[in-house]
This record gives sequence, C-alpha cells and structure tokens, in this order.
Amino acid sequence: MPHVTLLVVDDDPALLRTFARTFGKRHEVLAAESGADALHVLRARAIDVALVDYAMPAMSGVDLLRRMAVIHPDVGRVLLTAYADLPELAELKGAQLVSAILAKPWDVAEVDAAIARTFQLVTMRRAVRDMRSGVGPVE
Amino acid sequence: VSVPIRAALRRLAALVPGRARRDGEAGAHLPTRDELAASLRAADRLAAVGRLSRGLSHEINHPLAIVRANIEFAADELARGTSTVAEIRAALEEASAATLRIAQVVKDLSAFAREPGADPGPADLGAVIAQVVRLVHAELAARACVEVRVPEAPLLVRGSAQSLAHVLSRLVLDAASAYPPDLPLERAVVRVSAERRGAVVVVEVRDQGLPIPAEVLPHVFEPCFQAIAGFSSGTTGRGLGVSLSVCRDLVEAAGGALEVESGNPAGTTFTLRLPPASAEAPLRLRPPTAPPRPRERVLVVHEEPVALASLYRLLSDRFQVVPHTSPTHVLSLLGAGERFDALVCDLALREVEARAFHGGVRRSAPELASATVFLEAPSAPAPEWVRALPNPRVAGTSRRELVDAVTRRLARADPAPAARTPA
Repeated sequence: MPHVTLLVVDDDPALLRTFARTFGKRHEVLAAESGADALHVLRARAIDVALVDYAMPAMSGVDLLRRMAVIHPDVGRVLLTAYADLPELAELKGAQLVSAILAKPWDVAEVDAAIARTFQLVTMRRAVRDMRSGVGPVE
Repeated sequence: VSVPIRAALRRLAALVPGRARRDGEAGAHLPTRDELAASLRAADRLAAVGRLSRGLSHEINHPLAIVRANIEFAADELARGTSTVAEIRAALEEASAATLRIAQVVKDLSAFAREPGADPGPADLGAVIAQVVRLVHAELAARACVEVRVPEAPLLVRGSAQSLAHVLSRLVLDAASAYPPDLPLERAVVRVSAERRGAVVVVEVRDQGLPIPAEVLPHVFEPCFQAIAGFSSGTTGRGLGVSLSVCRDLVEAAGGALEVESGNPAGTTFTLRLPPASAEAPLRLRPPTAPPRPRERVLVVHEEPVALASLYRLLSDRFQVVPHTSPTHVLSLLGAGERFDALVCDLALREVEARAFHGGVRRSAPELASATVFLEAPSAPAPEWVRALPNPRVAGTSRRELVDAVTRRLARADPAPAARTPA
C-alpha cells in the first residue's frame, strides 16, 4: 500500500482523532473540522484522497465534494456517512462525484481498499493530465 | 381525496370522542375518552419516532464507528507492540466516551417515546429544547439547521418536559420539511426561541419555507385533519404525524395555548404560550450541559497526528480547536488572513523550525504570536530563544496546565480577531 496523503473532514473532533489514530501510521493524515477548513487545507497542501463526512453543519459534505470536483479535480473523493439508508447517496457515485461511499462504522480493510482504489484513479488522472500538457498545442 | 369523502371522514373523526365511554360508566368493550386520547398521543409519538429513525441511525452509527475503530486499533497495537501504553489507553478512553454518546441517544429516545403520565412539571424549557435539538439534529443535518435562542437562566414552565419535547420535536421537524430539499443549508433555517413575556412564557418555532395554504390553515388543529386531507402529501411537504390536535391538547393540558400563523409574507410560526412555574418550584430536569457560548478558536500545530489527536482531546471541550500537522500550511493560512484566538505550538517541528515558524506567525498575526503557548518535550528543554519570550511553556500533556496556560494567554490577547470563520 503506497503512502498516501489523506484529508479527513468531519465536524466531530473525536472522529478525526480516531481516524488519525487508525490510519496515521500508514498514511499522512490531515484533518479538517468543516468544509471551509478543508478548502483551506486543499489550497495549501497536495492531498491525494479526501474522505468527507456527509452531514456537516454550514457546508454539507456533498457541497464540499461538488466544490472539490471543480476546484481540485485531482484530489480523490470518498464519502463517509453514518446514515444507514440514504438512496440519494448512490446517485453521487453514479454521477462520479465520489469514487467510494463508506459507511460508519467502517471496516478498516474496506477503507484501505477504497483509499488504494481512489489513489490509483488519482494517479492515472494526474498522468493523463501531465501527458496532455506535455504534448502541447499542435502546430 | 374528494370533498364529500373528506367531509364524511371529518364528521366520523368528530364522532369518535362522543362514542367513547365516559369515565366511570359501565361497559367493557368501549375505551374511555382518556384511553382514546392516550392512544392517539402514543400513535403520534410513534409516528414521530418513525420520522426520526434515519437520524437516529446516524446518531448511533457515528459513535459506533469511533468505538469500533479504537477497539480494533488497541487490539492490533497490543499484538504488534508498536504503540505506547498511553496511546492504547487514549484509544480505549475514546471508545468508552463514544459509548456514553450512544447511551444518551437511547436515553433521549426512550424518554421521548414513553407515555408522559400526569407529570405536573415544572419543566425547564432550555433543557427541553436542548433534548429536542439532540433528537432531531441528525434527522435535519442534511436539509436544515436549527437556531436556538433561549435565556441562559432556567426558564421554568408548568407541564411535563416529555409532553413539551413531543410537541416541539414535531413542530421543528414540520418546519424543516417546509423547505425544498435542495435549498442550501444556510437558507433552510428553523428558529426556536423561548422567552418570558410578562406573565407568560412564549416559545416560537419559525420557518421561512412554503407557507401552509390559506384554505388549510383554519383546519390544522382539527383531529385527524392531516390524515383526512392528504395534507402531508399536498402542497406544503409538511406533516406526517397523526395530528397537530395532539400537540394542542398536550399544550392545553399544561395550561397553555398553541397557535399558528402562516404565509405573511412567507413561512410559518407556531407559538406556544405557557404558564411559567414559580421560581421556588423544584427543578425536575436540569440542562444537560452549560448553555452554549461562542468558543475561542485555538490553533494547535503539531506534526505527529497522534500527539495532535491527544492535544485535541485535552482542549476541544473548552475551545474550538483547529489542528494542523503542517506549520508551512498554517503560515499560508495566516498570510491569507485566517485568524485564531490562541496558538498551541509544538517546539519539535521538522518541516519548519519552531523559531522560524513563530517568527512567521509574528509577521502575519502579531496578536497570535503573543497568544502562543509552547509545548516542550520533557526530555528536551526549551531553547534560549523560547525562554527569552514571555510566552508560557507546557511540558507533557497535563490537561489543567495546558487549558490554564491557553486561558491565561487568551485573557492577555486582543479580544477581537479580525476575521473568524463561523463556528
């Protein structure tokens, strides 16, 4: 498993602490308590994969993911949610707004797999972008 | 539903209390009026619990994630031996604290679902509203936000806390469903306020959503009206409970009144007028936590995520803690105008040396540089440049020492930072 820079966004500090504790030894984990904080972090740091909670006050997780898709398309997007049944979330995956939806309580292996898959996707997307910019305009 | 059927059903509903056996009369097959009223209330409470179920799954799954992940972490680390005892203990404490949150959810829910009985009160409205907000918050999280305005001192009214919680949760959920689902959160606001006005205590639940249609408004308190009129599936998106008449009955049983105003020009306001309880009356329900006050934003910079997490633990119940593992990033935030009330800074930074970092802080936000508390490792005493500063230094992670040091620094610093992100 490659070392990945993760940004976890949740309005509950206890969850951020828990996530950092669980994944902090394998990856670099940055935390943000709100969508606004997350956007600050994204501006300042190169993040590989962001794991965003669905239900947050002020800017919801979906709002944040939508903004990220426009401003930071190179960052992988994963949704975390504690809601057992939200049919509208499946649409987010269909619309490619997220590459994975993880339910709380999570299974560590499932999170690892989602991170690995999303990171692979991000790496490919970056490679394609670099190739495009390398080709340059056709004379 | 066509008008004649609707009228017939309404007549039937009006007959129901009349058909019920009066208390004390002979006859075993018909329920008493009180029993009927109680079953109607129970049905309404169950409907409300049903409406809360999605939110409740969230309120349980979220702390459960914390419990599971920390227990698994502790088990793995015990097997691997790569973490210290303190780290493992912190994880288990975190799991234990999260189980208390689940217990609170279950407690709120069972208090809510129980038949209140003849509790004359008094009830503290601040505590009742806090309980209601806890219950409905997850249900509303993704579609509306609740703004609460209550006085800091207890606001005691006659009547049962449980009945009032039933009424208020119903009204808050209804108010939230008056907003279209796609509206941005900041525009879908439900305002709950309570205050004493002369001889009455007035509670208002207000929304700015779709109003109740004028032709419907005079009937909303009729028994079974919504079930009959298809009100819930109609134009407003409101209401799924048995009836607002249950709410009105509960409020009237407490000696109060429930009124509604809608569509003038937009939105709906439900107003409860309740008789205050005398201040000498015993307090049945205390506020579960201190009244919320704006918390100072404390920036904590530490490059180790686990140490950062433990600092978080120490500070986050007193302050709004913003943790960062990257000092360079913090400098760019400060450079961009982001402001904090205090800074807790580890001295063993690697990305940028602590001295250069603190110098950068001083250039962008001088008030934050003076509101800084340094963390020194017990094995590595603070260097000369730190000792030359008036800022306090804290070794290890004694909670009281750290909180005291931050509080003292806050008291010295300028009171109003220039820019603040909303809490």
